[in-house]
Amino acid sequence: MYPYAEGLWAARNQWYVAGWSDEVTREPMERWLLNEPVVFYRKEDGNIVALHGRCPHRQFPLAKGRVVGDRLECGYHGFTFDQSGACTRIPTQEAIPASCRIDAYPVVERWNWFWIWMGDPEKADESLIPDHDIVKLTDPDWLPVKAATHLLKARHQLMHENLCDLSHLTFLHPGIIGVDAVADTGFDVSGEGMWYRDARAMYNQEPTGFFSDILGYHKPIDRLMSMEFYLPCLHLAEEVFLAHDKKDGEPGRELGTYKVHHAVTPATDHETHYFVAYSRNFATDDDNVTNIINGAFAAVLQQDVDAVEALEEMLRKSGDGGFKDFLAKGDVTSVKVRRSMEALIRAELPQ
Amino acid sequence: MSITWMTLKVVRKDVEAENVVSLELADPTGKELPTFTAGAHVDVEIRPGLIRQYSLYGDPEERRRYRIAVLRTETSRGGSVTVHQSLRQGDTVRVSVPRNHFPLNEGDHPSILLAGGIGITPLYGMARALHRQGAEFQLHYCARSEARCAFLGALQDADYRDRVRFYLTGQSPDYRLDLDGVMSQAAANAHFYVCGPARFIDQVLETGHRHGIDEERLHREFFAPPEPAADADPDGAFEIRLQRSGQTLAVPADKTIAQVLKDHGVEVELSCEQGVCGTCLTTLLEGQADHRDFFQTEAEQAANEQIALCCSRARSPLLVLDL
Repeated sequence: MYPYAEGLWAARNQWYVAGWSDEVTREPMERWLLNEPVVFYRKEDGNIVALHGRCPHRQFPLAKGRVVGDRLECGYHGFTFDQSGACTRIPTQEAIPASCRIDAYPVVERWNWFWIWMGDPEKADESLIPDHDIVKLTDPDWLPVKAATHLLKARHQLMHENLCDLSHLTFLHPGIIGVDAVADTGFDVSGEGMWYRDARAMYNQEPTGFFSDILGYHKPIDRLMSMEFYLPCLHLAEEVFLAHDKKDGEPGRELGTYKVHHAVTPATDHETHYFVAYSRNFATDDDNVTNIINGAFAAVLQQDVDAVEALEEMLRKSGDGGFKDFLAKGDVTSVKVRRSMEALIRAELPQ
Repeated sequence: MSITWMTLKVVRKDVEAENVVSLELADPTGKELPTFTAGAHVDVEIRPGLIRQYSLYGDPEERRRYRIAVLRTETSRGGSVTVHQSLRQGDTVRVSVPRNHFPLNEGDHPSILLAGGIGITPLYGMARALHRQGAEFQLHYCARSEARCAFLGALQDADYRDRVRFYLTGQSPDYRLDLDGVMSQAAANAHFYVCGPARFIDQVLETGHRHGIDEERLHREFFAPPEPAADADPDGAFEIRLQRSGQTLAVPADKTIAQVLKDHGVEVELSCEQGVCGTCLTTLLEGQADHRDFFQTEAEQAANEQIALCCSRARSPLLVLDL
């Protein structure tokens, strides 16, 4: 499936951000993930249960049922399932055949979001989830903030590739975070396999109004900008702002750093969940700065959403097979990521 | 935690030799670090946007330290100078989990380690690993002078010091490594490991090929973009031979392989012409490419089986293409 090779879409044996912690309560909640309906609820002890969201009896959405103790009762004919997906009650009969069961998925809560593993539960190693201290969501010196939630009408690959080529900042987000220098500055790409990073440094920049406002600094700045991708779900943008008070290439005084966490999770073939957070290490007790950033990011993220949805619409109308896109220098990371994502998916195909 | 990057602290920085410093890197909280084996390297982010690879020379059983040694090169793109000048004890740097593209071959056979200058770092670790296994090995270490020999004292005092030979190329020719001699005297099943400047590696590989040593027994490691081989025109002209048609064409310094092919009416599919998209990758049958594409991984480039015609050049005088 474009932009991947035919038949390749998304890897299952991976952790994906499934949503925000506060979305899951004692009321069942449905979310489509990797082309499956998943129903989430909390047990009495507060832990999250994730089960396949379709009753095997009459295919009724289990999210329309109710939680009884730690179990989920279907709202149609009362079939009841425990946290392992085993059926514990069939109201019209006593015998419960072993084949009456649904899949249960491993879930891990980290910071304010929860991750799900949709593949082989035996392989669900929690240590594969990016470390939340290192990405500065749980570091006490940083202030993490929930920024946005979207259900994109676009395949997940399009958002990944949007985030892999930052030269789009100049053209899609002019004025706020995009200046000419972003697209005009060369970048270094590093990484292989499950992690990539591209980084560029822009010196002696007039700060945009947005940057001046949040940094409280109006003189020229240096911007060290990087984008990391922890495959297959989490992109981590970083901007280090330095006072431009040394010569080019020598780091000046740090004014502040923010990191933006973009979780991109496939919902269905042509829909994608997009959960965005950010954290910063400056003005952490200043709500006004938080409000300014929230406003700016909401506008920027909407521009990204509109762009990838426009791409999906173009592909839908014109057909997404039979052409090869023209690639440029700015696509180095995208191409490497495509190859890695395809390899992850291929590794799961029956031999 | 098995993510690719860790934040580690420089807990010690020492001068090892002229222009060589060693760094000890540890987790700031003292946690155990991911394991590695002799020959492994890590990526180190010296400052944002500047990432370099360094071999680990420490003992794999020492679980709370990584040790790297860095040669200062003025021609570098800034990595080694920053390490030497700016990186201080107490600073943190981001370090990848170790990867090993240069592992010791398993099996019962002698190993011959050939180090050129700072290329000693992975081989020093290998020598200790081989010694511990009780395996048969030799370490041949070429450097310009004693002052530039990193780990000189440690190697001279090592339990296995009788297996180490030093060659100081700045002195008389008597002190030079006789590669032909080493290779002709080596057991027929010996494995060779070489690390050092590209020129040194080329010399070893070329001598190995002359002695009929097959590729599986010649192991190499290089990180820096390869310097042009001594016999290749620097950044310049070389020849290509098209295996299927038998044509030999000259590629001048100012033209790409793709342009030369086009000029001679040979059809090749091109797209980005920047080494990004991989469209023009072609099977390379003979010769050492100077890979300049971004599409192939480091390992694929090192395997030297395919070449991007739009941008890559040659480190040997002739490339034979499957065209």
